[in-house]
Amino acid sequence: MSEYGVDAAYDRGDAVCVIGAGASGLLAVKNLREHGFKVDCYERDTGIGGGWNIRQRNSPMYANAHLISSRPLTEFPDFPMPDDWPDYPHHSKVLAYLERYADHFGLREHIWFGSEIERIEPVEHGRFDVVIRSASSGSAGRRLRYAAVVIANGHNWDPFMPEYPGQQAFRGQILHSVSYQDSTRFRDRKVLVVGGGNSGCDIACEAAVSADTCWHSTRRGYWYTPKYLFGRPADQVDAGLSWLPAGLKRRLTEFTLRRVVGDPTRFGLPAPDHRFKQAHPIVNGHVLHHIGHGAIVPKPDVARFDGRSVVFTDGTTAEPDLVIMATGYRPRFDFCDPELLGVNRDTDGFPKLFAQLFSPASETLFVAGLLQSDSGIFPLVHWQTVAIAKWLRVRASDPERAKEFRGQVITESEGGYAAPGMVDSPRHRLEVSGDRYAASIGRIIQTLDNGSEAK
Amino acid sequence: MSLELWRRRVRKAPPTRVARQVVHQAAEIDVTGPPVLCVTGDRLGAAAFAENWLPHIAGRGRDAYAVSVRGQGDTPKGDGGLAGRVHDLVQTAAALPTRPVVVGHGQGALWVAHAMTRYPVVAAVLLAPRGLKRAPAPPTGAPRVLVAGSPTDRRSPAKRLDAVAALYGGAPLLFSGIGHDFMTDAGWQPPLDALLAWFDEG
Repeated sequence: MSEYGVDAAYDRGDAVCVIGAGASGLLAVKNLREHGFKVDCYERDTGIGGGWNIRQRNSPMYANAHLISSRPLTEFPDFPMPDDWPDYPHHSKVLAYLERYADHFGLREHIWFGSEIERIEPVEHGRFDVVIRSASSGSAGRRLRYAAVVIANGHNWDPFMPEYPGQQAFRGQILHSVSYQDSTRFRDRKVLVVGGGNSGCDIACEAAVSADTCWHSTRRGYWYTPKYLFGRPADQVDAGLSWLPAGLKRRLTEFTLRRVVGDPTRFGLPAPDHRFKQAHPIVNGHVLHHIGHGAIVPKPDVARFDGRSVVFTDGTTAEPDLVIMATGYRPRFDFCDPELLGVNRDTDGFPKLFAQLFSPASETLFVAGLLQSDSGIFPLVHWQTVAIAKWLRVRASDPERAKEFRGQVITESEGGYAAPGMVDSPRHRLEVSGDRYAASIGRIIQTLDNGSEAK
Repeated sequence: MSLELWRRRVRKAPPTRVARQVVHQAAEIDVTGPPVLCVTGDRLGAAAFAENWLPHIAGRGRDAYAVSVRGQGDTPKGDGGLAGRVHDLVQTAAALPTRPVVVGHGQGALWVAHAMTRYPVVAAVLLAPRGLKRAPAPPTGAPRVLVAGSPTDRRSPAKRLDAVAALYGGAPLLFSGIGHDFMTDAGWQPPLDALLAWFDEG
């Protein structure tokens, strides 16, 4: 690559641009390369791992974050984690796994570190211009032209901060969980953790053992799934019941959880307002345990802040020194025209993609990993990126067949992938049932395979 | 690898871990290609390769590895049967610094054939294969596959070699003057050199 600037694009021919070198970006690089594509991957940071790299700014990791799906259901389908690792590895092990994946498949030589994407712009023949600038110096951008773009910039880095009345005037400290790293900041303090997601529960459990007092505010009742059932990882027990009809399987799981975990209302928590798996599962066996010790005091949603205190919707109050908002993240694509991702007024800022993967506006733009799932997400992203690679192959060799295929993808998308009756909240906007989604991507891949065999 | 294959696999309980015996001999000259991972169906396991094969491969500039799957050599017995042995092989391959080429000898060829369906080996040799009647599923990552053996090997007869090679869309490479025992027979070196040359072509 010689002289090129922002105005004239350097043409990279058939190469594909991958944005981000987190888990999804690495999967995209590996699977595209395996299908014969040249790939340039751009990563803002100086290392791989994305959110799994706790040293990266805006990593959602904290000291005691562990996987919530077990190893065999989390690992990439064609690159197992070492079987002497624990059932639920620590986040640092996940990063080590991604590093090994990058080395094992020789991915690093295709990654440009310290490179930020300024713009992506569709140009003629479905190709994309990508403007890249240095993340550190902010120096003028380079413009390169690619055959396709895979966005894999993650969706757990731009914190979502709720606004409660009186919050600005609150005299304690308020932090989003993105800035929370370990429990040293809890010592000798009274802590309120807001948010019933997995981060909220983990952080409340840390505060339970290190803070003076810990209140945990959750908006609704949840199914608290322990990490183990009958001495085996709970998700493996669940996967082993896949042969049962869905309704029966759900009833059996709910029955088991009621028996094993018990009635949450006994602990002062609201009863779940949804059936099992109609909300992102909480995999945490410790919350109830700490409530039983009095180390976590459960509270409903925050109504308002009032000077030093926080008033909850049931009229009770607390006076925390520190409030941790474990209120999640929002996806963000500053470098891309929202219409390319199907963002409109009805979608609340969230992309609306075909099969939660294909841009509705462009045949050569994809977002990998924009999912939340009730099971391990890595394998789903693996199959997403396999589908992208196969689709680009078919599109290059047989445009007619590609058109037909696009029709199928649109049909696949219409049913949606959420479990029936999924709780409707922004948090669940990206939620899929792992089973349904895998089956759907499976059908897409099968169509693409048949297409290429017919040739 | 097919998605359906993966879904079926993860619905079953994974095989229990056993401590695997892996013998390694580092390349003696500048590395010329991917590491070579060997497995045999023989009860000796990795030890079968230790005397002749591993030093010779290392001498040719490739990291040489051999693994004993559960129940072989120094690797304790474990559960899972065929799935357990394939698990041991895939685990060993994925633990190497880079993707290997793999040689499966005898029953080991069967395990390699299964491992290939869910781990993208660079290339594979099915040497004097046994127990391989149908191709388990297409290999993932489109590796090169070579079937090789000896016309005088009664445990992996020529007809079988033809059939297995046909599964992978090729013809077998035949070595005369050697039986089933490619690792310790006096004539072990010419076939091994031929296999290494085939790896070098890739």
